[in-house]
Amino acid sequence: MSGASESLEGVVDRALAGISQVRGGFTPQLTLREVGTIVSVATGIAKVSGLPSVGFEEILRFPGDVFGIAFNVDEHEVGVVLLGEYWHLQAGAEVEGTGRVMDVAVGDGLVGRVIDPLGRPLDDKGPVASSARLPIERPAAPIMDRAPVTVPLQTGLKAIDALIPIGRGQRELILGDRQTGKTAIAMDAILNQRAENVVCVYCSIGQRASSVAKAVASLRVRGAMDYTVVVVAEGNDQHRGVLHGGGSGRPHRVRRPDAARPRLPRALPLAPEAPGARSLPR
Amino acid sequence: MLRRPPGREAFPGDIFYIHSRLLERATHLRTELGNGSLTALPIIETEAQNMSAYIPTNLISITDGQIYLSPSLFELGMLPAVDVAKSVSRVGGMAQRAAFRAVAGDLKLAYAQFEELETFARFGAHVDDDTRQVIEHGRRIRACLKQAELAPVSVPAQIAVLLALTAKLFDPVPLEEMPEAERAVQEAAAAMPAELSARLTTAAELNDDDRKAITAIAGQALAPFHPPPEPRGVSERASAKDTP
Repeated sequence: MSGASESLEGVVDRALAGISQVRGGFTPQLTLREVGTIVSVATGIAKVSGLPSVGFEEILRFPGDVFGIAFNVDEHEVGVVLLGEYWHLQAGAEVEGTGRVMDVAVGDGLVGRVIDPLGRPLDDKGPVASSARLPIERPAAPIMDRAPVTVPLQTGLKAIDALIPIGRGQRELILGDRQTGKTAIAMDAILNQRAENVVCVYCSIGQRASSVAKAVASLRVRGAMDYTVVVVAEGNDQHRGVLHGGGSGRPHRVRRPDAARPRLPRALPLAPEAPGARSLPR
Repeated sequence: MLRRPPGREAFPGDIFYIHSRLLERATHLRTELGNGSLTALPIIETEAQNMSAYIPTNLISITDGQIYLSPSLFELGMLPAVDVAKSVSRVGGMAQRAAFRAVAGDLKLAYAQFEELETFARFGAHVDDDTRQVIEHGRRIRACLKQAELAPVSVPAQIAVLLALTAKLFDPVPLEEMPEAERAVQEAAAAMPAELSARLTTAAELNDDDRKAITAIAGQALAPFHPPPEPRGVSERASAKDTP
């Protein structure tokens, strides 16, 4: 009799253990997901509802591994700039928040590479080796952490080094009509950093691919790619959504192509460019 | 498409913020934080030389100075087409090497004077000898600032050329021989004593001896270009050629 009751106890225990196991596996699914739906999608912009906790510039995941950035966070609806191949998305599809903001790979592995704004390689040298990822909208250095600009950045151009000297840490705008040699100045400045232990980032925004290729070739021939990162956002690129701050009427080309180096060895001349409009470096 | 209200000239309302948040990252960090720096050289295109359009003025106010490239200088073959009068560097002067600063100060003034006088002189006629000298000097400064694309010049070579300019060593050289004369000075500078050129590339001040030494090197290099007849005749020839 006692043997039978023991075995009954064992059966109950096993059954309870099974139940609690299933229960343990089941709960997280109930609590964790916040799923919204696409209300409408057009021209690289999706309107999404049902995501009350999404943050500004948060990355959202769409079906088929398409990502988007929450650009407009309204009360009932989120305006999302889509990145990548969004053609298959339809109204009613499920959307999830990721809890991350847009980030990019950083590190010494980027030097010598040609990449797109999301950090994917555009050259034929295989995957980009990176040591870490940093959000693209990182806080800038506070005033108290900054020192006066005291070290010169030699461009190698007599007219500039003598009359309009540039220091490391400075922001010097280069402006002029088309075809006046703006890019040439930036290229010369990059070439002149060969012996200076300066990492250069050349960002081309909305330029013709052929002229970018020419610039890269010219840097490579002169050995300047050893210390240069080239970030290319083409005019017909899907990610120009990111680059353009969300296609707001007229394409304004702005934005930080990544390659923000956590601690820069030295200076970092940036040469982004946008025809007819504006451009910015990071 | 995001139904955001447009700002001025149909740009997004926060366009200034978009630009400034990128450029605020350019900085020079304190020594305790690694002393790193990030220099930004944003490039924008103006339309019909309109430097005072919405976006250019925004960016000019965000940045620490601008380099303006003028299409008219470009057409004149003045390359790089930097318009010195419209360009400015608000903090760069502090960063300039002491040797450079000493040389460049006089140069800027002389060049500004020249640009002013040149317009007058174009109306022809009667300029006194002093003015003529300023103009001739200015023309040589302009010639020296010309530079081919993708051909950066080293610091010692730049200083040698600029010193030769301020010492007016180039003035007797005919304008059409300026490129060769300048090249000669640059080559001579490359061959200058290593100890001297090392001092030029560090932050040290230029003392009088250095100055003399460099001027002498430049003078030697330029000697073949100084024509036998008196400089007066040369400058007349040069100015006759330049004024249409």
